[in-house]
Amino acid sequence: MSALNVISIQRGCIYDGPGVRTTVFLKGCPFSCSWCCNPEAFSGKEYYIDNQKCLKELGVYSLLCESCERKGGARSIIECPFSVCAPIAKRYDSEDLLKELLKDNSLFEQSGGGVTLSGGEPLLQWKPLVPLLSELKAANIHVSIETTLYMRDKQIVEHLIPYIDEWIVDLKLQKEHTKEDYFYVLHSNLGLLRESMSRIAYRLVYVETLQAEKVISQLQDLGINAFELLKCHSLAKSKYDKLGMPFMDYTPSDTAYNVFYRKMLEAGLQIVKHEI
Amino acid sequence: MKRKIKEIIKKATSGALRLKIRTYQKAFDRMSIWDALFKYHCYYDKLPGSLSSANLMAKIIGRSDICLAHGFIYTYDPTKTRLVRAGVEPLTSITPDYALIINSDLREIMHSLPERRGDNSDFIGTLHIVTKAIEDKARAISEQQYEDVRYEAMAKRLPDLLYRDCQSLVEAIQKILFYNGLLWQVGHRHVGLGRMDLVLYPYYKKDVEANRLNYEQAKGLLKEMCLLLGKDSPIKSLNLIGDSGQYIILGGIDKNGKNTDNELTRMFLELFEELRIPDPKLIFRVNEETPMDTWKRSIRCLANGCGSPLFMNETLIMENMVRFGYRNEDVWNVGTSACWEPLIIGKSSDQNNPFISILACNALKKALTEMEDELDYGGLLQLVKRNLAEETRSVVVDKDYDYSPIMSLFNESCIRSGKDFAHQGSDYMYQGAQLLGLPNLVNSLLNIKKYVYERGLVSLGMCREIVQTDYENHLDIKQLFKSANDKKFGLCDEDVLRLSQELIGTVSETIGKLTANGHNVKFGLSSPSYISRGKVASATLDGRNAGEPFAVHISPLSSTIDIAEVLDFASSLSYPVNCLNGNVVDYVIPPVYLNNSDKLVPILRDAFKKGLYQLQLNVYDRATLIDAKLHPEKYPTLVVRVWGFSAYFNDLPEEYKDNLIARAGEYECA
Ligand code: SF4
Repeated sequence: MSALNVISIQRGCIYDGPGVRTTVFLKGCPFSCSWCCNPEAFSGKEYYIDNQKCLKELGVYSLLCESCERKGGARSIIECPFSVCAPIAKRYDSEDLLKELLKDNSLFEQSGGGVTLSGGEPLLQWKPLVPLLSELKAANIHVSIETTLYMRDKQIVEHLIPYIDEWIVDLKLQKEHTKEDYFYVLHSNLGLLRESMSRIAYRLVYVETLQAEKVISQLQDLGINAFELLKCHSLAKSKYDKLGMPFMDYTPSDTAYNVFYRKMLEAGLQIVKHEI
Repeated sequence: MKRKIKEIIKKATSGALRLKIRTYQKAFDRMSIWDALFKYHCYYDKLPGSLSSANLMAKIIGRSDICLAHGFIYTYDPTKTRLVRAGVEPLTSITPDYALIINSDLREIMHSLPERRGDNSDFIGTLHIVTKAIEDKARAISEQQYEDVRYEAMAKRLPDLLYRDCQSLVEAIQKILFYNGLLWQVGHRHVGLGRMDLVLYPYYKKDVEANRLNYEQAKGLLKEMCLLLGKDSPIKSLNLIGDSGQYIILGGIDKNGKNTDNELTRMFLELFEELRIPDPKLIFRVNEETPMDTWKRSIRCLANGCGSPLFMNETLIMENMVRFGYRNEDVWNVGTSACWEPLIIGKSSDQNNPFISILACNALKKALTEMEDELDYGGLLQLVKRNLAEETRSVVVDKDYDYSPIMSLFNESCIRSGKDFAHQGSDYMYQGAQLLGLPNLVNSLLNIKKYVYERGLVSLGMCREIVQTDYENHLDIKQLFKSANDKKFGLCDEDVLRLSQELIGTVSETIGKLTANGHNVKFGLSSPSYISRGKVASATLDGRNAGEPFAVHISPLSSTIDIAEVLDFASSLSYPVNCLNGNVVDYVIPPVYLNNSDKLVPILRDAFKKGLYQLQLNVYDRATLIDAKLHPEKYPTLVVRVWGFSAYFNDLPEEYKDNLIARAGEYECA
């Protein structure tokens, strides 16, 4: 059975669904938003390289560096004893992952929480996810999935519906996205979820290029009248550095964020604000 | 012979002189110049426990001024202090049973004293002298003239209060303050306050039923009491300002096993949320039945930045106390010494922090110098354990303690047995030790295992050199030891847990065979001296430089370990029965949790259910602390929790400020 490619497992999460949650971030994403706080999900790279730890960069001599490729030696930096190189993802088979998730079973019970699958785009790993999901179902653990819902194959979504207690749909309304069939796919998948009476929540990351009027009409088209508005932040900068990717700060001004928020309210939308 | 005697006298005087100089220095540091120069006086007690000592106490009580503030009369005058002879330890961190004090009748207590015989003559004599001093004090207060009618009325009632139960909340608070002041006055330190919600509730209830008082008025009275107790915080504090041991314990079960969760519990939490004062402070006894609403209130209180409350897992602690030797029928009234060390309120004269801490890393340092290079890792670990046992044995020593006639008055077994509270009279006098720097030792050993034995990247010779030269010429290894190893203390990993458990086990086993002053000894994993001992300790193999602080209690040293992980780790440790002298996880919590108390509460509840011992949460963020260090004037009320006590950030020495900033940074990354 193929394994799950996991970027990280975060316990004690309080924003990704009801109660206290363990969020599993899965690798892979069809989008590559420039403000993404998990760029490792789509970077295509396998390792972080933390040059702040590299002794050569720091100007500290070490005998242990002598055989390193950075010093003209034969040893790949993947082998760096100072952990300059760290794998981005770890492969889990569903059994091991389940064991990890069950650590917080009593906390899930106490808080009404559960597991949230996020990413990247978790739907991309739907196949190896299924056995995990069925185990979670059997253990009676609440499962949320944070997804763009951009999955052309409707059957996949359909297949997952019985396992998922809550769909958190991350809306890609920013003009930077260029997937031509995005709205078509979203519409059709949302239709499926609605038909099956699935519980759906919506999220939108606020960046300044979002135009309130356009967003309002898009939301109307999609039949959405409540969503969480997430203020974009710059906490992922060090990850971009470690991936060797250029970082652009999309953090909006408070004024722009609040103006947008007010316009949404005026349009009769219900909004929960999240600022970090 | 003469020379010898001279030498002895010289030694004794110099000790006394040193003690006096230190006391005066503290007075100058922490009092107004006027008070320190013209009013401060310390009375030197050469013979604690004797009649002359009791007479000295009586003299101090008689000569000290009273303080009229916040509507109450407080019998503590910080300008008069009793100093016990060098070589005698002042009685520290004791909590009287105020429930007993409030309804006490001094005459009845004196009547129930045993016959005066040869062996109890001094004890009974000291009690008579001190009781008379107490009565005289109350009378003198009542005969004084007061401009304010409130004080006048209170003063008039005072002599009578000594011989009867209190009739109202005001009286109960006044009687507490009267005796609490006297305990400070005669030279006891860290006088705890105990379970104020439980103790005061019946008096509040009586008032409310008689329509004499409402919720807000009662809250006002508690506020005045807290402000008055905190008024002399600098001079009451031992090493750092704020470290006065004035703990109010909330919650927990009562004698019948029912949870204390009354209106006063709520009142105290609300008060501390509103007041933001560092002294007194709160400890919350939690169990599975602690109501959600009370939890949430506690979180709100914490979120406000007052550093209170610290949480303790009473179920686990009481269980271990019984297994250690405390009586089952007593443990419901568990309190703590100054910071977090459990004791029985009113019944324990346990001295829980009298020894220097067992410095865990010394065991490895010594092993490195002793060992042959051929020794394998298992052999090294054995050697470390042997040394740790030796280090443990070396710190636990017999000590000469001060006497306490006042505490004896309010302890039935002292009265019955005719012995002083601190000298075989109290029900319990277990002694407590502390293990310092366990996380540093664990990380050092994990590094040696991985980099010396498994990967052969570092030699044992290098390790020795590092300890001696403070990583000179080995900056690369410092980096390796500090941040490259993925196994580290705080990680809920089998190897890490096993190693930690083995080391704890070694100390436990050793301590189990030791006694101090003839009493069994317990130990804890939380030592307050992580900065002071760190200052003079050489480098350790976890990447810590010489002079840097050791880890705080059982908190992780690494930024990659988040709250879920560390709580899991601390809950997974099994605490041996005698490991009950405080095991605190001290964590700087990201503010987002505090704004979501309905989600934080289950996280904490779950951790306690799984076996977490004690938890101290701090909420400051790094940026604020840095700014506060640079611009103290902007943050006059910034309170932080330091080692079980809270203090104004501005009052802390620079190295403590730096330590807090560094730790806030670590945890923010998590
Ligand atoms: S071994 Fe590591 S630290 Fe040394 S030069 Fe290579 S990458 Fe840098």
